[in-house]
Amino acid sequence: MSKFYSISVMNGYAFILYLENKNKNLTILDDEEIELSELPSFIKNKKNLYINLQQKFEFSENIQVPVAIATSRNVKNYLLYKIKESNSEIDVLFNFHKLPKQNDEEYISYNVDVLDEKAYLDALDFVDDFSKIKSSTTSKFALLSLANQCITQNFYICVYTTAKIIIILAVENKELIFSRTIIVEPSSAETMQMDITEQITQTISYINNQFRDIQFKTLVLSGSIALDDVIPQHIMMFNNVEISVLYPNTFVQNIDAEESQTYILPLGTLFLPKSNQFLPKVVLGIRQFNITALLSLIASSILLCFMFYFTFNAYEKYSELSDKNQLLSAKYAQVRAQAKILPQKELSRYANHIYMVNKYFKNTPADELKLLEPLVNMSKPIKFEYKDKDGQIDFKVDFEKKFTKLINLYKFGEEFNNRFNDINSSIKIDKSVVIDYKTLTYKVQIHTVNKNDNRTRVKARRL
Amino acid sequence: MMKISFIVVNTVLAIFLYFLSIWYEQQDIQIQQINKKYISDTRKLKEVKKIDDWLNENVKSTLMQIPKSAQTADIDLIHFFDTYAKEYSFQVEKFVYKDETAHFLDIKYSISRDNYNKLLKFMKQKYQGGYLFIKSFTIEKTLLNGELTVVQPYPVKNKKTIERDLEDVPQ
Repeated sequence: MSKFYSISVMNGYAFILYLENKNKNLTILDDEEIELSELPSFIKNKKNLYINLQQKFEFSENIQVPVAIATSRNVKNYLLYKIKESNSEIDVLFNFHKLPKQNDEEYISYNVDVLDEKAYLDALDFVDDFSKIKSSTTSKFALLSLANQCITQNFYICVYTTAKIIIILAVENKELIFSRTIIVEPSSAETMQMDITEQITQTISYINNQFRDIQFKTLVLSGSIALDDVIPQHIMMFNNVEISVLYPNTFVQNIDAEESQTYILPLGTLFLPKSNQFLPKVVLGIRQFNITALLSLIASSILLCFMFYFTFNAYEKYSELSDKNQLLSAKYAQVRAQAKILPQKELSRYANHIYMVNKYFKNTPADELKLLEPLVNMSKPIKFEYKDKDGQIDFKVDFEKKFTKLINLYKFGEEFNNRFNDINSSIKIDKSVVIDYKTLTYKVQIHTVNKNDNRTRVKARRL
Repeated sequence: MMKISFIVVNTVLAIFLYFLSIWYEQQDIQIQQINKKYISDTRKLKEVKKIDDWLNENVKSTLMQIPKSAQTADIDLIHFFDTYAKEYSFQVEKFVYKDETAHFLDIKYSISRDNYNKLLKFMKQKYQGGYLFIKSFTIEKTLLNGELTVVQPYPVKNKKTIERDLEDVPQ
C-alpha cells in the first residue's frame, strides 16, 4: 500500500491528498479541493482511503469504571452500557482513553468520545465500497494525531480554524483531555477576527479553570489562523502563552508551509493511532470478511500447491509404472510369440513317450556287457544271465580260463582283480573266485549285489 | 468477489486434484498387479520355451507313431511276432495284454550264439511302432535265449484336447 488518498470532509467540501509512502517518507503526489457532491465520482475507482469527517453529533465525557473491570473488552462493554444509559435511542460509535491522572483508587477514569453511528454512516455515504476505507475518524482526532506527531511538550492547547469552524483541543501527555468544536457565524466580515479571538480566548480560559493543576504554556495553531497575523497577537496578549504553528512540511515532502495549513486534517488522518479511529460495525465486518477471505485464499492456494505437488508425484509414479508396463507387455508379447503352449493331448503323448523310454530303455543287456567289457576282453564268459525285474537289474556272469603255466594264472588273476575293482567302483557287483591249481583253472562268477542278498563275500578258494 | 471466486476455484481444483491423485494411486495398484503378472507369465513362458526346445531336440524325433485304433495296435504286435518268429525262434509267452498306456506281447526267443551276424542283428532289433523290452537275456554254451516284451503304446481314448493356458503351467 504505497499510494493512498487522505480525505477530509468539512463544510460541504472535501480536501483530498494523493500521497505515496516510500521508505517511510510521505510525498504528496496530488491535492484536490472539491465539492462534496463530486466526491463519490472522484473516489469511484480509487482505493486505500483515509477519511476524517466533521460530525455534528459528537460529544465527549468522562466515565468512571470500577477497578474490578480489568479486561479491555469488559471495559468497553461497561462504557457502552453507561453511554446507552443516557443515549438509549441511538446506536453509538465511541472510542475511549484512560485519563493520564487518576484520583480515585476504586475507579479508573476514561475519556469517551461518542458519535451517532447512523449519522456517521450517512456522512460516509459517498464511499461506494466500505472495504476501501483503511482509516476513518473525526476532524478533532485527525488534528490531535498531527499535533502529537509535531509537538513534544507534555501539555499544550491546539487550535485549528477554517472560515467557519474552530477546533480547540487540550492535550496532556498526548491524551485528549478536552475538546471543543465551535461553528463561527460572524455577524460581519469586520467582526470575524474579533469573534474568533474571543471564542479562542474564552475556551482557553475555560480550560485553565477546569485543569488548574496543569499549566498550558504552549498554544499550537494550525489552519487559517496559522496564516493570520492579527489573531495570534491578540490571543498572546490575552492569554500569556507561547505560540507554535504546525508545520507538517518538515516530514511531508512536496508541500509548502502555507499550503500545508489547508491540508492539516487530511495529513493528520495519516498518523491516526488505531485507538482514535471510528470504524462502524459494517466496515469492521467487511474488513474481517476481507481478512478471512484473504486467509482462506492463502490457505486454499497452499492447499492447491500441496495437491499439485502430490498429484504431480502420483502422476510421475503412474507414468513410470505405465512405461514399465509397456516394456513388460512388449517383452511378454515377444516371449509369447516364441513359446508354444502344447495342448494336453500332445503333452500326454510326450510324457507317455518319456515314461516308456525311461522304463524300457533304461537298462539293456548291452549296457551291462559294455560295462564288463574289460573283463570280457580278458576271457570270454561261459555263461551270462541278465534279468530285469521291474527296473531291478540282476545279472550273473561266469568266467573260466585254463592255463599251462602258473605264472600266467597268477598274472591273470591279478589283472582280473584289478579290472574288477575298477568296474566295481561304478556299479555294485561282487565276485566269487575258484582257482584250481591242479588243473591251473581260474573260475570266477560275477553277480550284482542285491539289497536282500545275504551272501557273504567268498574269498578265492584254493582247491 | 474476486477473492471468493479464487477461493472457490482453488478449492474445487484442490478437491479435483485430490481425487485425481487417488485415481492415480488406484491405477498404480492395478498396473503393479498387471506388471507382476507379466513378469510371472514371462518367466513361465521362458520355461515353456526351454521345455519346447528340449522336446524338439530330444523327444520329437524319437516320438512313436501311435496307431489310430487298439485293433491296429494288436495287429502290429502280431505282425512283428510273425515277421521274426522263425529268425529268432519266437514263442508266445503271454499273448496281448494291456494297461492304461500300452499293449504288450511277451515273447521267448532263442538264437544260436555261433551266428554272430544274427546275434548282432537281434541286439539292434527295433520295433517300429513301440519298444522292445528285454526282460531276460542268457548266454550259455552255444545258445542265447531269454524273454522280451513288445510294447505297443496305446491310442488315448475319450480324451478331448484341452487347450492349456499359462495358469496351468506350474511356477
